[in-house]
Amino acid sequence: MEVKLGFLRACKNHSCLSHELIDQILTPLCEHHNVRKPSQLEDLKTFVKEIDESIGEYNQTLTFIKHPIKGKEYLVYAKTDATPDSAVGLSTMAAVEYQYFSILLDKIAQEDDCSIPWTGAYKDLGFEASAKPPKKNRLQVLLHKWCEMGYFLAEDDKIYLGPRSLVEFEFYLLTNHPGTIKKCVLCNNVVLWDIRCASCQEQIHRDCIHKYLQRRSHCPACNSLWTTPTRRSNS
Amino acid sequence: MASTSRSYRNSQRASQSQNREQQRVGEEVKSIVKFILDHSAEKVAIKEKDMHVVAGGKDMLRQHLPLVVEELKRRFGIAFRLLDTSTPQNKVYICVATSPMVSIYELTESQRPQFTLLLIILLYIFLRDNRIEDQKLYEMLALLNIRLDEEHGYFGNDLKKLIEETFVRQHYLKRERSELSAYDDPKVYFQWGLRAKAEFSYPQMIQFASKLFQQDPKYIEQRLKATQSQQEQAEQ
Repeated sequence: MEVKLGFLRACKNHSCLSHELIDQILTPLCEHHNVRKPSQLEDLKTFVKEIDESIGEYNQTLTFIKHPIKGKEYLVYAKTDATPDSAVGLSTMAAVEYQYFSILLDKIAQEDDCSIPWTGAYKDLGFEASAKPPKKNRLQVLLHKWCEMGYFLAEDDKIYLGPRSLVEFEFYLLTNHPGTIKKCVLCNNVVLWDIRCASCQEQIHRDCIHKYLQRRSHCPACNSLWTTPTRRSNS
Repeated sequence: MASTSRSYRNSQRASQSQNREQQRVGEEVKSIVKFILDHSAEKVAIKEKDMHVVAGGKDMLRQHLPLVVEELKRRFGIAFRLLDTSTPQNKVYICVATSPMVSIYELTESQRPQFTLLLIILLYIFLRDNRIEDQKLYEMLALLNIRLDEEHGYFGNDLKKLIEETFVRQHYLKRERSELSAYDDPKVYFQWGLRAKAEFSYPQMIQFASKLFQQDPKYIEQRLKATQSQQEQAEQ
């Protein structure tokens, strides 16, 4: 029990964790409490699921999500009833700084590939007329913090929606940006930056279609023969 | 017969309203817990007054608080503690972990340097009988090449704000002014704050000291005891 609570506290503090970090936290924690570490991926998922179940009642969740941009899986601590203006961990921010978060989230979400160049995060933001926008160095500090928390993700001079935003704002993003953010036809979760059917351009999770094509050979959306390779290319 | 059926219906209605009561109570406990979870991330204190709105008033809050405290402890590993400086009219709480941190990996990369600096400060206060004048602390930090007015390669800049404001606001440090007489300049002292007392134990400090000075923990303990008894003799 103590291991679970200790791990949950660490997850809440980090907000978004890679598998390497999970391992770095769990190894000493389990040694300290003298319990066996959930070493297999299956064990870890069960361990996390048990924690998730005990906090669900309070609209908090601990869940794994794959992020195709880095091709990595992350563990995310998120709220299930959050809107961009009430995001967790931002409680000591000024109102205009909440506004910046919402603006940034919308700005990225309305792009076709759900990303903007770094410079776009500091200009043409369109703060409300009455608001006094924060200085650029403050914006940089905030953006850095949100990237660390997994709300956004930086890769190759671009900023993408991060793993935590995909979990926490799934409903918000689907309802407010239906043009760019869609669900995977196979698993019904948000799908972004993943592979597309060559005929109908429907976007599907790589893992989902890979499993699906073991039994069938046609696209689940348009029923044409699936021709896009499902293996990740090394280029 | 009529009366029996009415009483049956009445009792049914009563139990229904009781269920509703429990349901409502559940919702209130939930909102208070969620409020505390949202406000615990930055480690700042939570005023009881600020919780009145989510709880539905002062009396409701008092009524639900025991269950809230229990739920935070059982499900989230958070101890919700009343601050020792709060008054009955103005109660202030902080959230601390129910058990100490096990490894530095539990902190984010930007928290790690701050934590190291905090440990050095807490250790120094601990070794100096739990109370230290601010200037003495800064002199010691300067010996380690940590200067408040200069940017440090590892600990970053604005260390004055970090120590005197952030650590104090997070209740890791307690800062108090003391003026011996009207003719003396006021002095500022640092002590361990309530969060430090809750999250670190003295044996942990000895462990940390032994690592820092590369000495056996027993040696540090002996030295501490020796100085203490010397001081006691000197006072007698």
